[in-house]
Amino acid sequence: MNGEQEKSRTAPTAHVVAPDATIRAEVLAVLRQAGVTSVPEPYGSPDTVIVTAVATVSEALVACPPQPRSAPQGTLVIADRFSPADVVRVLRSGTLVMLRFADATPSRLAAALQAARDGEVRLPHEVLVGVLGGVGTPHPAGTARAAGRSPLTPRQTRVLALMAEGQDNAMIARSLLCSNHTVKNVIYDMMARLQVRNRAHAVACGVEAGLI
Amino acid sequence: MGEPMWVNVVATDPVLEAGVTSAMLGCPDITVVTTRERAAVTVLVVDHMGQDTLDSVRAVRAGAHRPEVVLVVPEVEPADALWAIAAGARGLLRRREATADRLTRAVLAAGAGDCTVSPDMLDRLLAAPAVPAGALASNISDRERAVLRLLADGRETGEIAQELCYSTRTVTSVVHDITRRFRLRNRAHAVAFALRAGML
Repeated sequence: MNGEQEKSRTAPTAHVVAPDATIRAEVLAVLRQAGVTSVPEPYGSPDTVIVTAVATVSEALVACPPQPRSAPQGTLVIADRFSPADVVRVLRSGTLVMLRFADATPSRLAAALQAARDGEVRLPHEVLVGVLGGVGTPHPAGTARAAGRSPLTPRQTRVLALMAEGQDNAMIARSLLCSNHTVKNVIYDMMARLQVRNRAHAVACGVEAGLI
Repeated sequence: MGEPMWVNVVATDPVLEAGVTSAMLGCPDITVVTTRERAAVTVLVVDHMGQDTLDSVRAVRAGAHRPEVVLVVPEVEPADALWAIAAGARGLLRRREATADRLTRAVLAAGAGDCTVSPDMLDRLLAAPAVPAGALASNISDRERAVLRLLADGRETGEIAQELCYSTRTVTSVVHDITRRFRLRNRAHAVAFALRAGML
């Protein structure tokens, strides 16, 4: 929080906590691309940020023990799904930086790590809108679905999250570094799984069910 | 790092504008430009927080390159913070906490697509009595809400027109108004925004 004197500190390192092996491998790969060293020891240095990577933000509460705000260790949560109530709980537990999987490019992850190390707040825009918008009461459908597993693959969830930001297929293809054709296929399968009629319906279903 | 980010400053008076500009000059990742045409981020400095501030945020967001907005205000109530962020501001700083360091970080975060507030302000926002559920709902008319709800249910324009007894043209123009007003890209974006902001 004393940002001025922390500016000249060394680059942050990352300790990754991810119960799911696939998610863990993906995060490690992005960290490598970002030139960030991942370390096995979470509390070895005040420059080490604990990166918790999970599907839903509520899992982060279980996977990563609460951090007192005064602790030197910065924490960062990467997730696919952010329900407002869980986001508030994670913020209260001292994690002030969150990132969507879909947005976790090397440069954004590096910037998020730095923010976490320096005790700043950095959140996806719609996550903050959700928290402040007082949507603390999840939709009934959402609570029912949230208990079970997501019907979507991580990739489908990412595409749906980008659709919810108003991105068209070409933009999604660029974000995910794949072809337009692949995006179309992913969307086709995803819409079939959700049994929805069009993009707006898919996005509404995803938000109401807490999938994105 | 790549190219420096292009940033412009819009302030209600020249002293504020000069102050904010000079605060960013020392940052190698930022180039302060005077035209708003190609700025990736616009820092908007206002001397009070009101409805016109939100209009300014939306007006800046309406620019050709849809710049991200970092808002610097003298003081802000939690409810106003919500409005500003919902209007599209990606960063919100009180003037006294807008040190050169904080400001440049907020600007760079906004340019990268993330949203920042100070930890102190976040504490206040979380501690504040919850904004009544759907406080943003008063921002849209009943007609707009009905159309958005049907869009969220997967209905097409023709079906919505039939259900609400409007012409298809009316439905299209209602959707167009909503997306323009909240700076949304398309129907899917509008539906997600309305649901997340508790409007539906």
